[in-house]
Amino acid sequence: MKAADLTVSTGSHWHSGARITDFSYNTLLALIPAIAMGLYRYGVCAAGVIGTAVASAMIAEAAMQKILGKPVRIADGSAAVSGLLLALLLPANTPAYMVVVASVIGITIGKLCFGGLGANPLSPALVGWAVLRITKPWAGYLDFDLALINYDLGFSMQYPLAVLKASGSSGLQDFNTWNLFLGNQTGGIGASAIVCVLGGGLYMIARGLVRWEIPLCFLLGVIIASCLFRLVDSAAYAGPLFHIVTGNVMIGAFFLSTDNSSAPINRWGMVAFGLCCGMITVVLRVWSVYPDGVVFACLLMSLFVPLLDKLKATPIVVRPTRAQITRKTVEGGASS
Amino acid sequence: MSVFKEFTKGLWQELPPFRLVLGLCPVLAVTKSATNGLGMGLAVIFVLTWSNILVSALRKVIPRKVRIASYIVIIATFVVIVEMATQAFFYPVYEALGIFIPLIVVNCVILGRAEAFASKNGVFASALDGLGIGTGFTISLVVLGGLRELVGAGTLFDVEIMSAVYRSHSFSFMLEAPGAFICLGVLLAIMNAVSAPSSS
Amino acid sequence: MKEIIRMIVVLSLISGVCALALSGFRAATAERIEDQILQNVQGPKVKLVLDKAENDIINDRKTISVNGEDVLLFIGKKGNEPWAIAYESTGGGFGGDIKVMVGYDIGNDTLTGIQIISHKETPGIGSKIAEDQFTKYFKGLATSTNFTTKPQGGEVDAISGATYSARGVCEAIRNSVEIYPQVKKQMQAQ
Repeated sequence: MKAADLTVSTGSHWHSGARITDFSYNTLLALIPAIAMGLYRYGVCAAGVIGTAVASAMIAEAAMQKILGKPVRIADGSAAVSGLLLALLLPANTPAYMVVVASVIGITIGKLCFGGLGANPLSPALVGWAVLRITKPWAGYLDFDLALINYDLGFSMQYPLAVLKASGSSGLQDFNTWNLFLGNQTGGIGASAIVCVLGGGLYMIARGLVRWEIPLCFLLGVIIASCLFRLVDSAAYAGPLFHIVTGNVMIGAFFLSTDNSSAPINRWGMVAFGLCCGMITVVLRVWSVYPDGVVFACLLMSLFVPLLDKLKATPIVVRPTRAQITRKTVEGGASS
Repeated sequence: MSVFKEFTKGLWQELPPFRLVLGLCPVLAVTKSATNGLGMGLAVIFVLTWSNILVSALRKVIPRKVRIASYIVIIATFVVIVEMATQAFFYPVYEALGIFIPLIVVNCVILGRAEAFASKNGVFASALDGLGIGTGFTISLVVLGGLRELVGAGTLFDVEIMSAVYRSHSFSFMLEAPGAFICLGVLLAIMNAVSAPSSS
Repeated sequence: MKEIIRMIVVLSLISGVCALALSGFRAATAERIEDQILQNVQGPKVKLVLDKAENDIINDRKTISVNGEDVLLFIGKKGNEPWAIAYESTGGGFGGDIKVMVGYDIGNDTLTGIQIISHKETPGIGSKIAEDQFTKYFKGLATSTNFTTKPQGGEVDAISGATYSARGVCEAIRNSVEIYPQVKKQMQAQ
């Protein structure tokens, strides 16, 4: 690949020495366990959703780059990753037209309208998902209880967060935290395979492709906020462990919030970003109309990234001690 | 001929929402349907034309230092008249447009025309300017509202266009606030792309 | 100095003329506007509440005073005889006041039905109080019914997830039932 191909419009990445292709293909690799789990659970339906999402995202990117007169760069894999992340959030039997609309809008309006990879203020996958979520006649397909009603996978087919919303934490006796962690829960194709997502996320951190600050602080934010709610009323609000092992928190912490161009680049920015994402997630889960709030929390915080990028650790000025000053004056002779 | 131009400039060269990018608040908020867009547009034509006529007629009487206050009083009067008239004679329209009728007072297009045109030109030219800009505003609202209504609900002016299957699964995202922004942005982009060769 | 006086005079004149024009227009349309609001906002709900009435309910309305407060009373007639009455009352919901139109059959002191006139509850959750599913429950209940939700020891089924909203409706109905005997007496006296 020529060096010019690696130039992106803004240089605001944390440089790990990796190229865009490395990042994309490693993300795909890291998500393979979650995909495999989804395919194992939901079979060919899941394959259809993933295939549709990835294909339409790549086609949309190529077409849009052609229309805008830019070089076509779908080979860098970033569109494929966006499509894949979107698919992993959806129920296995999402109708194809919804998947196509979401990934095309996510890629064209969420990414290329802002100047393409590196210049997008929001993650394309999240934009696509949010569009589906607020389209009322389609919302039924995103309601996991309703969407996956024909599946029986040997565990409770009720969406844990919907149960929490309807009947408070007292309704959660059927759910075992360890079971939920192993991925025995209803949810998105890949997002519900918590342990696989966690493994993939750790791989990304180990390769240095994802900074550890955001995921860690994301989970920390979830813990802090859910503990605060629990202090108020432990019968109504679920505990921190439950929040971490359900819904999109795991995939949100490791893959959604760490999207390259919509996350901060400084350490303190990342810490604030992660904490706020986590806390807003819990707040939305408690007070919003929707059962899960991960995507909206990430979108909201992404809008604050230009501000968070200003959060830099102030350089510590080491003042010379009196002894050093005297030594210096002695060495320098009689210089006032 | 030049007088005629005062009317036609509002239809393309100075099309308010797309060219001047003014008055976007009602443009985004009330265009859930073509009917709403039309109602809002007609209200704006009325207010804009009459306020232009009055401002132009009084342009030599109003002292410069209190001109904005005077314009606002004049505009507000016509807006309240429109509000009461819609409430009395077109109640469904009044219900659909709600708070956005009183908000015409702060619509930049109207104050902008009063300040930029009517205060410097004759009564007849100002009236034509108001009519033209208002018509352009109305057309923009109807186009945007029609597009959003067609995609978002499958109807146009409340007439069912799309099949029943489409209407029960319509892409109602277009009727939500984000849909309004995206739709406006796409239309702006298309308009710029269309008129780019002529300007360069 | 002359300039300041001119500014004051011009601005006051413009404001004065505008105010005059507006008050004139207001006087001309006030009656029609009031009629339109009745026809379009309360009218359809009243017609649903008093669905068996044969007269023009909106025209057969009167204002009476109960405990010092004005109550707008809608009267439904069968043939020429008053058969039922309806009036609005208010209860506190989750997001704000809930206005409920409650209709009464004055023959046997039962509810002919309720309709939610306006509410500010959460869309999709609390807003279920405005759906037929919830409101039809009250049809035919005696005024002596204990209008509180079941969790509070009453007889009304609460909506899951919308306890406060259902309670608000019950509160409005209780407020309405409370003044019902006086309203009925005044109506029959006239």
